[in-house]
Amino acid sequence: MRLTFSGGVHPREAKDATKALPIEAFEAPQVLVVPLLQHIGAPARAAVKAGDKVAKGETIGEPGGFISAAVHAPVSGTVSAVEPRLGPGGRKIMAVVIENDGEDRWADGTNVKRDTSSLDADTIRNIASDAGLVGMGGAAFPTHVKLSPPDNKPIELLLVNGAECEPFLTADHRLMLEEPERIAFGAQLAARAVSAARIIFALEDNKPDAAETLEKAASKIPSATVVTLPTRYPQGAEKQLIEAVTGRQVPSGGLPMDVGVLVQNVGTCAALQDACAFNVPLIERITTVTGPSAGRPANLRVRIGTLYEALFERVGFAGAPRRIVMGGPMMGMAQGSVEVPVTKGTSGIVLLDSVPGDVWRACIRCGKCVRACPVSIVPSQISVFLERGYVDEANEIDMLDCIECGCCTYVCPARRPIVNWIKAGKAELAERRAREREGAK
Amino acid sequence: MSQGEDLSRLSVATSPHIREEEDISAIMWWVVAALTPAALFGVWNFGWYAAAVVVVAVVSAAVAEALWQRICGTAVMISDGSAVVTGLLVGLVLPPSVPLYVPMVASGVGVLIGKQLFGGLGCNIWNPALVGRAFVQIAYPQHVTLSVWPVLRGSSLSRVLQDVRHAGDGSAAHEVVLGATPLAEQAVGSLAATDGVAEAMYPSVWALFLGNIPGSIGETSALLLLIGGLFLIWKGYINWKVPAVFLGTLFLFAAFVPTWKIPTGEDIVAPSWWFFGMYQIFAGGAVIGAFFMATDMVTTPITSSGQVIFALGCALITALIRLVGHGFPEGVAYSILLMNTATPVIDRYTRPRTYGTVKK
Amino acid sequence: MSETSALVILIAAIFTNNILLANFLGMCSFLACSRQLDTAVGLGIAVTFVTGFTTALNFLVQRVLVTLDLEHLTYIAFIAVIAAFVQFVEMLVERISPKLYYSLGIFLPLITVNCAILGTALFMVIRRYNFVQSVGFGFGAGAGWALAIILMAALRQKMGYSNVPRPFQGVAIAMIVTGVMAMVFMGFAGMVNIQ
Repeated sequence: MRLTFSGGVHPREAKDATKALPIEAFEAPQVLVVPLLQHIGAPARAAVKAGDKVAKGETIGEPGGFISAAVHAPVSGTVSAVEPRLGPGGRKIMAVVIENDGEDRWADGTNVKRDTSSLDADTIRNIASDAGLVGMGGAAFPTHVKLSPPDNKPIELLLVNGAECEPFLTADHRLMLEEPERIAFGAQLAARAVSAARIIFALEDNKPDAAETLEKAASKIPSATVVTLPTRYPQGAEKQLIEAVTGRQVPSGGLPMDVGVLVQNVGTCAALQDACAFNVPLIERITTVTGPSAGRPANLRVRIGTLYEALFERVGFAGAPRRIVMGGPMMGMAQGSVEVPVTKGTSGIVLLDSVPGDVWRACIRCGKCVRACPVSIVPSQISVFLERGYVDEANEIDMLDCIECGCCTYVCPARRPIVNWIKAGKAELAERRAREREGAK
Repeated sequence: MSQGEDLSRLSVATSPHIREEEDISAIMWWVVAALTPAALFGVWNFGWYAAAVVVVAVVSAAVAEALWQRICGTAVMISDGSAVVTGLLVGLVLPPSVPLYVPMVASGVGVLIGKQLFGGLGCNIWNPALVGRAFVQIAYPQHVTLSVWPVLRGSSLSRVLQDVRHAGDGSAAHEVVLGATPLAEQAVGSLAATDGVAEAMYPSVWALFLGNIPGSIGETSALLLLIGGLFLIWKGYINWKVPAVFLGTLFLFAAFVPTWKIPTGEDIVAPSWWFFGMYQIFAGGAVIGAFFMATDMVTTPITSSGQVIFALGCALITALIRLVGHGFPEGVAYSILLMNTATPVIDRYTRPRTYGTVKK
Repeated sequence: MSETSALVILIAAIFTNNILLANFLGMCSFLACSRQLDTAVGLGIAVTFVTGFTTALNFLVQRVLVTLDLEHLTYIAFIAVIAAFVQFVEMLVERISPKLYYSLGIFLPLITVNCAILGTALFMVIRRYNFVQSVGFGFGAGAGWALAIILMAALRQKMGYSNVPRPFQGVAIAMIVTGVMAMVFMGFAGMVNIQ
């Protein structure tokens, strides 16, 4: 049986530039800008102020609620400011600016070995929370929240997501190839935290070498298997991955736990093992800096808070980039500046030498988007409604089920900005509902 | 920046940041390419006058579109090829003997009333080429209806065959009914030559398939239309189920028609069910309709299941008009137009089940 | 005429002699209720149901009137039968599907004055159909009306999000749509003659 989901597209993979390059440690720069909001949820509260000395791994931001994540100092040094700085979302957000003293002095209690065999579920969750773990595939949802399913939603299966379906990106690929034990170890801890009986490592068939190394690592875990899926975007989207591997569909508006599944990215698993076995918080990540305008593309192990411009000094340019994208080209965010920091969710930085035009035409109903849509909505009709501002009509035909993967917009021969309209439509609907709640009070 | 690259031109927009290359013009021009072999065959089959008809149709469609867009002050979009597709289809479904103002009117009506009045490409309800064709069929019946071949209704079948035989004698009917062409004459000639054998009164299935038979300019060569259609299927522009269901249903329907009831005379025999089925598929506009018109993106349903329903409806209505009606001998154009009318309804009830929901 | 089979009459009444597109009966509710597809579907089904059964009932009533030599009461009797039947359907729908009942709202009682229904009954008399033919004609006429309104509703909804040029919006484009529709339905012309 072919494990797959319905719909999807197959853009040019463009991974050749970096898939054979080993992960390279990138030296922490002089100044780091660590945003206090790098995740979905409430921003962290600053725990330091300008002039404070901080050690590497020290908490500099406390979680601002349950759905929030702690933030840690990626280097040792002095806090030079706590002020709004440009974030990858294009807006200024509160950030801790640290002057690196170059000593890499660890904070007390961090970077020490810990016996993980006795850790119970609650402890693992607390460690994940204290270490500021978030989903590292790009969405950056706080990990401890995902590890805390309610009692009536038992988790049966842990799916470790190594699909990395976005073109250009190879960070997860290299991680699976070079450090599969970290992933396997972290996956076991995650499975323990939610009492999942089975672990499945899933990746696309364009990474046979990684499948082999993972297989080796997984063979030591009795309940784990590795599955190879056809290369098809968005294989790595949570709902599509679940459908491909288990055949189950997450109910509309629901979460993976509704079908007994927890999905964790390979990078998150590796970070969980660091946090549990060494008490090392999430202060660095692997990110792929690549694209047609990148001079010497690389997979870099980068401290959180490193500004893009520092990375570009290492990578260089091949001609002026027209667009700098945080994440992959299908779902990533375009950046208007190079003074943006790497965050916990920066899976890659893609330098594109050309950008899609912004001239679009009427829908010719070719149906390509309908065939490409992985959630089986009718993007063409939704776009025709939204084009004219008919948000309610669009909502009636399941606009809210859109996962914004971009497949419809990628294939559209009329070059219609469908995803853009849907994002705006969702925002308008949310705003209207918020107003209605206000009115009801 | 250290390399001194100019980063002031960074553009910011929402994802996705890459696009597939294929755009509307690519699709349209590939459709034109897929129709070209059948068009060239039509010219070879019917002579240079047929080429003039097609060229007039294409040019009129393009000029009508350009004029309209100029008057409305919108961008002139001739280069996207959609008007050319419409014009080409108009030319191909007209008989080769029409006066040149007929393709001009058909293309003009098709593009202006059939398409632009509804808001241009993408907004039209009916296939513009067929709107134009239906219009001239009503406006100039003396030029359009008569020469459409074949008339397929039971009782009319024998009449047509008689016409064909008369044409073989070189009578005046030949000019009107068939449109004189060397190849058509050949076909008819061979019919006349084997007059003694009853079966030979009908063209062979092979001749119907290859296309050296009378008919509209571009509809006779099933073989070349099939090649063009398969190319479009391979390109992913059309759903193979549409022609399969359309032609398959039409064949089955025809195969069950009691052909033995056709009044037979001294030298007229009833065709076999096999021949009659093949005749229904290959002799009229069914092949060009099934591959190039029932698959038109704008005016047919958007989901695969909707397209199958559409094709089924087309086949049934075609069969109904051809075998029961006697108003118009050829039902393909009307069947597709009728189903175009139903497309919004079909779309509404064949929406796919959204991921994670229960079918309503 | 009396030899025409009920099936042929049924098909003819739906397509070739569509009560709405060919005889222009039932125009008012056609124009009023063709904005929303769901309403059109509900109304279409209700009209088909009512037309089919009242034509059968009216056939019997008419026979009785003829036997009693009370033919001059035909019109009144037909109207009474239709009104009573609609009342019955209304109660039935309210009982079985309150949702449909509320979505149809005012239009359900309006079926009473849908001239397509009375027209069907009168055509039945003029054309001297027998009972089986009348049933076929009744359901065919109703289904034909339903088909027309359902198609029109979907088209009108589509027009709502098309780029129709300003001067042609509204009535103008509706007339053009009707014109093309009439041209398209000519494909059926002469197929079956039930005049």
